Amino acid sequence: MNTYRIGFLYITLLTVAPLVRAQEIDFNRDVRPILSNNCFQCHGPDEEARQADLRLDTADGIAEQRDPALIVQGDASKGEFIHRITTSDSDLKMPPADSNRKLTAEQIEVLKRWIDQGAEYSVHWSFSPAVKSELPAIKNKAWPANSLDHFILAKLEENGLEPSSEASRRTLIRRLTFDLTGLPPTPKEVANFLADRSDDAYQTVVKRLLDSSRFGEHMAWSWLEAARYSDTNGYQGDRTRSSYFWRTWVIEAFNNNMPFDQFSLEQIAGDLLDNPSTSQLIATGFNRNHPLNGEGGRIAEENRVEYVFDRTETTSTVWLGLTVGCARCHDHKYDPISQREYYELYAYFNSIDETGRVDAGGNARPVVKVPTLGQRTRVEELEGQFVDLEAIRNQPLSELTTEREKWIAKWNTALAGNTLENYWNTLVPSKVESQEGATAHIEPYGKVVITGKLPDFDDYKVTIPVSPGTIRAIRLEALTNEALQFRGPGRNANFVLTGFDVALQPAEGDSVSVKLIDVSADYTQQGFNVADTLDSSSKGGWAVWDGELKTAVDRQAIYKLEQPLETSQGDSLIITLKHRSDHAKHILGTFTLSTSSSVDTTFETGTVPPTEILQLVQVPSAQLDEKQRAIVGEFHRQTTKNYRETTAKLRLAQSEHDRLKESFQETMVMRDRSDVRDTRILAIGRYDNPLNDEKLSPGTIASVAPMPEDSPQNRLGLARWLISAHNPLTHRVTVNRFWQQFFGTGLVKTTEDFGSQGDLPSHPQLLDWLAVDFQQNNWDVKRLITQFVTSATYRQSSNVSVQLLEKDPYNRLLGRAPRYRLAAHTIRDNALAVSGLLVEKHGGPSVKPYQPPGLWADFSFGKIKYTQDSGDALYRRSLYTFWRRSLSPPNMFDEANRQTCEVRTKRTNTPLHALTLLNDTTFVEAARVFAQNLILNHEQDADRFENAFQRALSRSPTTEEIKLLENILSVSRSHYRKSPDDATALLSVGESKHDDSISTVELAAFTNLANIIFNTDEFISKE
Amino acid sequence: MHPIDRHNQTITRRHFFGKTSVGIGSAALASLLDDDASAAGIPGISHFAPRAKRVIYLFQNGAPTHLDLFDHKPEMQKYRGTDLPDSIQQGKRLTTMTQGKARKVLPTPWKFRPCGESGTYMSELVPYMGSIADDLCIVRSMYSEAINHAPAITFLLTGSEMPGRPSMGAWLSYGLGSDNRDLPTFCAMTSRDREASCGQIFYEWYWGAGFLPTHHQGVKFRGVGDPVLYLSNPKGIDRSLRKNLLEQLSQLNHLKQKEVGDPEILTRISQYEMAYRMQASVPELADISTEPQHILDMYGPDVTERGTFAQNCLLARRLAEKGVRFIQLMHAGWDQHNNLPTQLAVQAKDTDQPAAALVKDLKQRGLLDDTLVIWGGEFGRTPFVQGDMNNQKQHGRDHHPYCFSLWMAGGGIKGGTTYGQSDEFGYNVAENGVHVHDLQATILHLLGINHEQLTYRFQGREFRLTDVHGQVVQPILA
Repeated sequence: MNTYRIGFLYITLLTVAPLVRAQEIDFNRDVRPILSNNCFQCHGPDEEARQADLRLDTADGIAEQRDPALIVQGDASKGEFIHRITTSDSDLKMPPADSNRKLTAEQIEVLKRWIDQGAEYSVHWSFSPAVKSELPAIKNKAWPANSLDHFILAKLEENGLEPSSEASRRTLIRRLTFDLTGLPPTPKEVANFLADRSDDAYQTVVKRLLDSSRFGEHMAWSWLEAARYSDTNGYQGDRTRSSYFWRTWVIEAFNNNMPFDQFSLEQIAGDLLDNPSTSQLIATGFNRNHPLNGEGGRIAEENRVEYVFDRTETTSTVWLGLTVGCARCHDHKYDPISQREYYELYAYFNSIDETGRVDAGGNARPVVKVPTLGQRTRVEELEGQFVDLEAIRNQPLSELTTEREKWIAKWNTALAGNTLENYWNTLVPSKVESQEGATAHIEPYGKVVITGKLPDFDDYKVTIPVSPGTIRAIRLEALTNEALQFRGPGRNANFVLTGFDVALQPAEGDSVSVKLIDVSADYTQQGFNVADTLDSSSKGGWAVWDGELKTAVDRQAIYKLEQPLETSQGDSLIITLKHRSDHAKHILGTFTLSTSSSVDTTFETGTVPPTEILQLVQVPSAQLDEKQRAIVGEFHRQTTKNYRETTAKLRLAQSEHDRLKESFQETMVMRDRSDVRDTRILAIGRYDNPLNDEKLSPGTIASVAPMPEDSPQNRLGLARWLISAHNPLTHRVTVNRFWQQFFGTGLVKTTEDFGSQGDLPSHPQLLDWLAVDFQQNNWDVKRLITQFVTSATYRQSSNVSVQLLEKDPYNRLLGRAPRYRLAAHTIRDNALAVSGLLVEKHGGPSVKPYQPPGLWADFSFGKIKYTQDSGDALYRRSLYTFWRRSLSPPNMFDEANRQTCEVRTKRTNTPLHALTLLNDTTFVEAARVFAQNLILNHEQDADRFENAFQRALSRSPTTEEIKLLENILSVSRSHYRKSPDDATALLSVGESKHDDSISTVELAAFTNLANIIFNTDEFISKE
Repeated sequence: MHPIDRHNQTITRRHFFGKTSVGIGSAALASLLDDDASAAGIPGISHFAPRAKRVIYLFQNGAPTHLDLFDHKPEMQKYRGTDLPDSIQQGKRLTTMTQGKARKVLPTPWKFRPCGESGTYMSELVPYMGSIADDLCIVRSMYSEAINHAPAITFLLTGSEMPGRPSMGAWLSYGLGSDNRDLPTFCAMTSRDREASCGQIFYEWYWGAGFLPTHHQGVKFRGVGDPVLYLSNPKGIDRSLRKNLLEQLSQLNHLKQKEVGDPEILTRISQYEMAYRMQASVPELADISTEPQHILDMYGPDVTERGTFAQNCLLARRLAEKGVRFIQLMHAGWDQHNNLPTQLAVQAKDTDQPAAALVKDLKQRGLLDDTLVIWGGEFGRTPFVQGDMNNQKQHGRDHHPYCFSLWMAGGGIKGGTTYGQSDEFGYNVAENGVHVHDLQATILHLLGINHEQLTYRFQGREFRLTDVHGQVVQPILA
């Protein structure tokens, strides 16, 4: 036991703090962890829980004058503090026995020495400003490649260790390519690098990889995990949402090297910026990625409060590295965060314009409509067309002179011959009544436009005073109109007219029904018959959809009267347009009516211009003033064929534009309500249980940093506080998370907790140096990463020597590069890339690759079924794999579960992983496709081995390995020769087809070979 | 030193003294697994002599009604159709389904009778359980905090209503390690009633590892397809070919290990060996064709059908025989809001015989002594009717966390007993209440663990299954 203890201590000290050798006690390094773990529970920040009115987490608390004295600075032999932790009286002994905490002899020794040395207190390290210190002194001055190496080397030297030698170039390019793109290098990339003997060969590779669009795809993964991104809502029902727009935003932000402060600002408060772009709105999806509970019996407000908790805690974990969630129910037990401050932070997220329900399809409001890339392109095309068509339509009047003169002549002839009645004479209604209370507008030239209430069904009663004459035909024009949904002519695009009743209302007496005998329309939708409008039944009718979602075309129907109708002075026509079909909201939106005394009128028969135009037409052009000429010119232009046809085209384009916009996917964003919700402290975090009546304003955590002046009291203010120069956490937490991504473990191992219960940094000065440097350099992420990967520390070999394993088993001192298994999603991408199957298509909705059958149905009692995609969708990068929150993709072991924010990587090693990599269709198919490429490209086994290793491992196989590869082939060949059906069976795994020209025995044997290569430790590890 | 620190230290020591020695052949490797840290659990975690080596938790999702199964309340007959007195209700929170509605007392329509030599009263709905009454301890004073299914199940299995903490089985895997070389330490199986009357989803976190290393999570034995995901070799690779291929893989990995010295590679090699063994052991375990007819008959007619509660019970026995530490069977279908008179009988019939058979079967093999069997749900059901008192066909009972029953058997439990009492309506605990954390503490205790000392540090603090609560229920221990 004794030897164990010594051994263990040695290790701890090496990895955390060189305590034994250091003479000087550092409060934060040595004392605070002991106090925090053993005393703060009752003598810490939590006022409620505080015992004996004693606080050990503040300078004042420690220095407080008490009787008897708590601590006598400089003399550990005195003072109640030491007395109580060393006494053998179990009634007095601290920590009390029932706390299950106990101080070790070593810990007591540290506390005594701290008091002997003056009992100095300092603020918890992460709450004090980071300082960019001088580079520490080192002996091996030749080793560092950049500043960060000084810190690493100093610590190694302090512990009597040396850095490892530089990794081989082949290892370096593999490491870099995986770290920066999540994919393996190609043999050509490796060869180029090996051949490039220039000084900046390495930097060239770094730059190439950082510029690759794969960089953003790779970097997005961890951010998605932190943001609890999922394609579904979770909980019962687990409906699909459309958050992938936010995912694409993240990828692009990394690729564009958006500075991290802006990256933060847009995601927390993009909606509150001046004139936010759609992209900035999409960014705020970060805090809409939490689960949504759509269960029946749940209380919406309870859900909503849960979401606000989630945002508060996720934001704090990601930017501050604080476990503020502890303060939901009481003051934080260890860190200076009061319950009140928790709810002040909560107040920033409490006024989102949301209901707690899943109320926008699978999404919950607020949402914004966003086009896909294809949609965006088409919208831009259409908008271009608008401009072109307008130009064509508005043909200059000067070009129309001849035509116009002919037109003027025509009407003068008609006037002279008194034949105007034979043309279409527009009726100008005096009254239009909607039976259901819609609003009718009678516009110039008799155009009727219906707006307002949109009932399911409606009748319009149109009253039109008529002048004396004869009517033999009535025309109904259904007109397009920019004011209508999809430009009409129905109020909702299409309409179904089921009845067209005409009556004559004489000046005196009852109205008389006018019988119609015939009707024809210039277009009627298939399955409908305009003649059905002649009877009073609601069956059939006139509809105009043409099967391609195009309705925005002017249409006309002409009704013939059984008997000529003679009208006298004071008569009115009463025409009733009925919409009583089975199709709700299919009602005319804009129309005109006209009559003719001729039975020979057609769709082409002209329409008599209105009186004011006719008057002008009769005046010789030269006698008109400019304004009058313009009026005639403009009126004429609108009657031209060009104008009408171009208008038709324009309307169709506009209609398509409208429909496209309507079909844009919605994605969830942040948007505040106009009236702020009251925030109160919730006792034990219960949504309906405010502690008191006091309304809290939004506010940040005082002990972290002051609020920048003039900050708005909304999320924008919060965001500015997070990225302010005075915030001691955000930059540290951020560089630490990136460090973890490249070096396997954070400088602070507890990536999620920088509070007093979190681990201390292994290299505090380095962390601070990097944090300040990052902030001073515009939060430049690619620059930070470049510093990491060009350091000598990063470029070390990852080989594990016995000495290092003994002295620093967890490699916290980085005397070598880390070596660990790649994440499951990277292993899949790696296999797809090496086999040649990988389909690189960026962004867009998630895809559903292979998955064992029945998984979703089994877990959801058959309610949710998995419909696997086919073709390219099977081979996209894992980033795009559909993520069901209740049941994550089964081959993505160890990945964050996306229920809550996760920032620390899990890395385990279980037989289930082995089974996945050996047997999952994805890997078996990739092995077969890889095998096929090997066979097709090379004749000899030896060349195939060479190529297989080059592609999968970026190196040649050794003699020993070749022997093992040969063994694989020989056992496989002999098996498949004996059982050829097995070969066929193996090759049938996966959707892609194999090349029939290859012997199935050979292909199956090489498939096994590839499958084993895909399972080697080297293939699945970052070295 | 805290046992967990000692554990970490042991891993470390093993890494650099044990595993890095050069030249370990693959034959020697198999034995390495035995003293692999994760398989061995935490040395010194056993605080008492364990009474049980393993647990079979027959979890009844949806909340079985205690009033119609285990908690005999003859007095209620008198109050049929009357309002449940306020003095009983005490203004306690109910679900939105019955909030603000009339609460008419609904006595059970089924008969209770004394069972076994102990004379424990049990419902006629569970005659088979009645026949093992002398092996059971029925706790009639359980209570919980959550009122909806998922939070309550999560609370019972992980100690917290919110997902994210390790489940009980994961804690035990972490604390005690594995008792067998060929199978996972912690297995979960699910089934549901035939009518699928109950919509509750089996969330993965019910057997999850939470913040513990993921290899402690329960391995789901599935009722369809491969019993364990990805267990089967692809078509065209048989077991002997797989073995040959894995031997080459093992050697390739050994070469790598020799070159780079990373001890993690040795763990990987052993995990591949374990995977290979599981490919045989799991199907063998799932293959019940070797069971004699009289055993199959014990479990009832459903036993031959995959994915049923009956077959899962039989598989649980087979897993117990192999030394699997924690076997979590979850059966959904107990959520009788409006179909109590019809559905409950069906549900009871489907589960009664297999559950009782499991206890008998374990007993006849001498396994019951060190296997703790628990049967129970996440909470109970209300003594008042949900629905119209006059519409008998659609009588139901709502969720009720303030008092419910469950039973335990074997592994250190005093059989033929009952513990705790509810009030005359079964609404509140009247005597010897057992909180969910008490139950958890007791389970750990029976396995030899002090629940206050099985902890894991996460987000800056020591977490445990029982949070900061839990008292071992001493009187029920044999």
